[in-house]
Amino acid sequence: MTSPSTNGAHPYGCALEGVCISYAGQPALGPLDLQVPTGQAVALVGPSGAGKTSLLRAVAGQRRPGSGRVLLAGRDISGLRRAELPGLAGLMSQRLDLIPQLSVRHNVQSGALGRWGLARSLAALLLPLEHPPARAAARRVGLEQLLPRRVADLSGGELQRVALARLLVQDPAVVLADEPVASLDPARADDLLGMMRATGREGGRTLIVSLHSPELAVRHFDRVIGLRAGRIVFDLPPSRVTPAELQSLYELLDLTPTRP
Amino acid sequence: MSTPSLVWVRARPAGRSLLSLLLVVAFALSVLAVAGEPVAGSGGAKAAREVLASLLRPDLSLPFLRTVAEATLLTAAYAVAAMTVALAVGIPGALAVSGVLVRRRSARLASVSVVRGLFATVRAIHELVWALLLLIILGPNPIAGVIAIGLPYGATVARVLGERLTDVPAAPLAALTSAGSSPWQTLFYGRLPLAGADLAGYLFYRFECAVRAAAVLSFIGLGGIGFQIQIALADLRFERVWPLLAALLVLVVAVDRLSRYVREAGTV
Amino acid sequence: MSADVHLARRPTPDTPSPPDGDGRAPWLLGPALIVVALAVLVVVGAWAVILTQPTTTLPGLGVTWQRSVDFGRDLLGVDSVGTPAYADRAAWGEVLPLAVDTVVMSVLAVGLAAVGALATIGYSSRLLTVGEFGTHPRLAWPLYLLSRSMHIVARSVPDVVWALLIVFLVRPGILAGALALALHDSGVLGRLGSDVVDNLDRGPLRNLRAAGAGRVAMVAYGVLPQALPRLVTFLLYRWEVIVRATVVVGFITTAGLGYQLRLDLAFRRWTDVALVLLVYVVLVWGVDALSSALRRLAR
Ligand SMILES: Nc1ncnc2c1ncn2[C@@H]1O[C@H](COP(=O)(O)OP(=O)(O)OP(=O)(O)O)[C@@H](O)[C@H]1O
Ligand SMILES: [Mg+2]
Repeated sequence: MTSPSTNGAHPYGCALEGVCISYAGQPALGPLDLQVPTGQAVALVGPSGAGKTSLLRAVAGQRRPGSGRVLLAGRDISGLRRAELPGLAGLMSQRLDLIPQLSVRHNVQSGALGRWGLARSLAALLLPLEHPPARAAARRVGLEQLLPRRVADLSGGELQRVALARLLVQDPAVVLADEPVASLDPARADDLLGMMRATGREGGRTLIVSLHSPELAVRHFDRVIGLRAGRIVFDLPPSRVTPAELQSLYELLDLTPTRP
Repeated sequence: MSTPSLVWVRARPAGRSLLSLLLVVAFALSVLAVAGEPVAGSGGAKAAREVLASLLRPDLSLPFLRTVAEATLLTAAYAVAAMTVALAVGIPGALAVSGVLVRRRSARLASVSVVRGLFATVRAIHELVWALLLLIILGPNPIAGVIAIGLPYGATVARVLGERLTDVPAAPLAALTSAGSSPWQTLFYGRLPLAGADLAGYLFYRFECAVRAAAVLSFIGLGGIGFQIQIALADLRFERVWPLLAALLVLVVAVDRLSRYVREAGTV
Repeated sequence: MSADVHLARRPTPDTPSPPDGDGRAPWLLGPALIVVALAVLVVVGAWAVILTQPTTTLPGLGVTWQRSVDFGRDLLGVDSVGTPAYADRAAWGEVLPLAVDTVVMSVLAVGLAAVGALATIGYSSRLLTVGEFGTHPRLAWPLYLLSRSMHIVARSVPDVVWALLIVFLVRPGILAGALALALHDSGVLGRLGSDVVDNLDRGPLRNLRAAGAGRVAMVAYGVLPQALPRLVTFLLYRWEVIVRATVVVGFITTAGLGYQLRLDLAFRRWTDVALVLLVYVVLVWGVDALSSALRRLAR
């Protein structure tokens, strides 16, 4: 099983051209142009409401942009067949969206549903059968011991890793994650991001992750993009992200009384 | 100047008080409507005394207990058979009514409204009224009893199952869909586990209702616990009624226990 | 990717019970197979019993269809002479008062059931008797067990059977029917109600007790505000169920639409049967609509 990107010739894992998103007429994102080379790891930072989630959902094909195009491996996302999308991009959402009543094994295996017919899906759910890539993914994120456990019984950090393992089984060329470390302690956060980085590198995957901590962004990623009010404020390699830049990115917009 | 310890404020939300008032008035009116009727029954105090006295000496003779056991078994069999019909009608019905397997919204609306109307009619009619109608078509045939219970229960199962399959959190389903899962796959990997053990608990509750309904199929001349009760009452042998009621009680409680067990096994 | 589902090695090396002992087997799996096998056995057995009854005949599809069509024609009065009942003003004039009787019977039943349930829920809830907020130390268990068993008995016996018994004691009519329905339903409501009370949010109750509230204050400020809206909702749901059942109970207690249906069926007045059924279905739908409107009001 080869991921489309390992030998895929296209130089850009993902590209946005003039993408705009608005909710009920209220612009939330863009117009935005962005090109992410295949295999690059990008961190999105920015204050709450900057449009990080909106951007990720657009790239994952879960929200159609009001205008502009999203390209995955050079192909316009609006022209894809339904079955093609899961192999091209996969999003780990802020709330993870796992099925609490099912075991870790079944949640991880559900990443493969796009490639399975109904009979195989049912067999994998109802019989004591296992999908080896799911075990491999679980092992990769350190969850092998927990495969038979119900997801409802897991801790926050474990849940995060289940969602990551599911995404690994889905095996998309572009891995998107929306604030994957928001609920983790610093050590776990480092661990998970390191893991995402490593698994991304192994599969030659493109990685776009939104974060609230610029520190982690600088430490783990090839490129840091600052987003504010739907626009790109800076787009720098981690070594060139300065405290001043971050200060202006996060500073409260107005309403702060200025001292005479 | 002292502050009063209590002051009047605006009352509770109007809707709820209005509702309470309406309910109380409706009940009072219904009481008034029957207030003039004489109450005492045909047997009067003597019958009451006999009924109560019989409680102290229930018929526990072996041959009669055999009858009780057979009647109980038959009632349970009716209930189980009726539930298989209910599921055979209700599960496809739920999928049709909720439209969870249809991707396009317009197609969903069309399929939903037609089936819904049909099921609403079937459901409106009590299972024993169905039994009376089917008696005319099929005669005093056990099959008629099974269908009479299974049909309206199937329509009810379709509605409740359909509602529970639709009222699950949307986000996890969307996550499955974006991983490439088809509506059928989403049904098994998302909707069913999310709707969860509650669903199984509900089906067992239906089963409990089916047991009670099956017990009174004597309505259309079919055997079982109700039939034996009717015979006992017709012969004024009240001492035979109690063991029969006890058997029914055991059956219902057993199913109830099963339902609790299933719900707890699935949710805790 | 043809063979990428393999049998998991059994016993799998990865299933040691976790240290906290929280390793419940996943729902849907393993032991479920035994349950499925048992269920199949039970179903097959049940059908075997049904199919071997002496009066069982497997009706042919063609015959059944023919009879259904004939019955439908009878109901519509296609082949009969004279105006069918449903097109006859006088027949409507007879049936509509019976519909009113039926509604009265159902409301009376719901009200009596509510009274019966409310009077006993306090004793059949674990929380308020033998649980955390119980007070009568000596009588708690007897009261709890007694009211629980009363609910179980009331609920297990179908309304129709209660009606059969009650007509010995109470003169057949609207009241007897309402009593039978109420008896069964007070058991149902009592059970639901005590479940509601037992699942209440304990926090507010603990606060009240810490603030020194007595038993009455606790019920008034802690239990009722939380439980009553849900109980009223149940009550309205049960009304929908009871209206359907009123017809059947009326059969026995000779009241309302049910008794009329019994007479019309006995005398094979098919178009009258159709009329009663029509009124019945419309009544049920009306009550369903009214009940859901009232439930919205409760929110
Ligand atoms: N479904 C929606 N309906 C209406 N407005 C929305 C919706 N989703 C997002 N918005 C708005 O769009 C803007 C961008 O939201 P988005 O969720 O993309 O921000 P974010 O950067 O992910 O914020 P956070 O860090 O708080 O998650 C915000 O102003 C938000 O209020
Ligand atoms: Mg967000």
